[in-house]
Amino acid sequence: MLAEAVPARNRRGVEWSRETTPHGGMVVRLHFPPPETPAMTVLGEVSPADLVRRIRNGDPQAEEELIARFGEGLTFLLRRWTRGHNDAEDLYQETFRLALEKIRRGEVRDPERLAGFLRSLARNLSIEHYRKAARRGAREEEIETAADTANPDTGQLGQLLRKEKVTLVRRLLEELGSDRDRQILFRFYIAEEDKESIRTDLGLTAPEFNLVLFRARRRYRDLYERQAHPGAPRE
Amino acid sequence: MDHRRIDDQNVAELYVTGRLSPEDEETFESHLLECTECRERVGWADDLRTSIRAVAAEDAARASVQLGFLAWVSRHTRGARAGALMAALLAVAALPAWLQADRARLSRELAEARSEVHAAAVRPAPPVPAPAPVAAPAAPAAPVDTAELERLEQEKSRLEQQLARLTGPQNARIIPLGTVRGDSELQPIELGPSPEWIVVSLDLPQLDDETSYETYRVTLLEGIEGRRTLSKQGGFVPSASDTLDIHLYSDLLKPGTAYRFLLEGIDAGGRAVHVGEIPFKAVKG
Repeated sequence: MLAEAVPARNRRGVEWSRETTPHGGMVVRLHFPPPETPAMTVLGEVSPADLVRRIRNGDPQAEEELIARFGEGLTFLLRRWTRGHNDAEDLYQETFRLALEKIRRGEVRDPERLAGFLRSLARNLSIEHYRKAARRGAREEEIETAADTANPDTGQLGQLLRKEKVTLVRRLLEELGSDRDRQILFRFYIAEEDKESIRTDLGLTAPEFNLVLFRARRRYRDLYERQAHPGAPRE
Repeated sequence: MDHRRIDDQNVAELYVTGRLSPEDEETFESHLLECTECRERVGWADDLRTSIRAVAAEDAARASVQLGFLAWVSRHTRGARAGALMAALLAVAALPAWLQADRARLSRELAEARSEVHAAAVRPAPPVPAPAPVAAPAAPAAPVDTAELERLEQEKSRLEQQLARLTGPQNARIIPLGTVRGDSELQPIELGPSPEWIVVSLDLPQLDDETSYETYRVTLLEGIEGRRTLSKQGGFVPSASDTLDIHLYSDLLKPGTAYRFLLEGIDAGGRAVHVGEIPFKAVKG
């Protein structure tokens, strides 16, 4: 379920659109024209080192490929780190601007680890961004990595979605075969107890414990998708 | 990072709950940059986490409203009648459903452990074998049974402690604390002779009409001006009578020491906004 597709065209004439996912994340899609004349390389098959080399040689197509390959992922991470603030868009632009500059200047030490390079760059820019904001007098907010991410459930639609999800979780909890499985979920997600101590306490092996979490996520997704598309076959 | 390991070890779940090591986090985030499938895994794990927390918050809010009512009763009722009324009300105060389930399970296990201990204690002695024709050195007296009894006793004690921990707040004393004006004497919290659960019911300071927060964060600091944090917890929902009800194990407080609760409201953007402080002093009961 995606919404808010906003088509636009970037300065190189490539059409792109921004969409919101059910989790409140943002997806930027680049719509390349169909491969008529020069055959386009299938994304993902190009080695990162090759991409870096082509950018260094001034190939503008390689720059587009870089954005197409890492753009969605970068948006995803930035929205997590900034808790969904609008700053994510500025940081997105800034990360790619700086990344391209550094690649062109040959400042990528290990081109095969291009993803790690982009991630570090984006992370440092996010931290710097918030330091500057704090110096300007705004309240300093810690850049969170995983916990306390943005709550997209605001507004009436958001409230409704949240209610639906809460109902789904109640159903999931009822469906769980044992109190032990319910305990695992609550102790893991709410009490935030150490995984090992929960496991030891309940006398479970690591695979048994992991299976409960894995199945819960799969079942939750299944329930959600069946509710969103009632006629769809079960996964 | 391969998908088999990500699924087998619940890397997405560990990531959304901040349990990955910095190195693994860096590796996984680099992987996320290129992997749509894993971004979906993280999205679902995050969603499940948020929804489970919402379920727990709903349950806790229900319990909190009841406790808020109890705190209100404790402030407005005096003497022996208050005690009797409180005891009656506490008996019906509901714990969240999942705690109830846990409690039931522990009670069941405890009963089983007790019955095993009892059965072992009253088990008739084995029949004395006929004397051997040749005198043999005496065998040690039933070492297996003693060890088993000891193990069950330990298990029983562990379960009892867990049960006390889980059910503790239900039987806790409720201590109301309000905002102090001027240089009034510090409000006391009386500590019992042995550690126990207490519920501190904090009166929320009055905010202007346009300001309200759905949840609050409460920090317990040592000293009137000190910064040493003893405990910090978020997600508190105000009760119907505008109190925040904090479950506290009294062991955390030392008699004769001053403390303060720092109250912060969490605004729509997730930022913590200072709303007030409530100082108090722990005293021997």
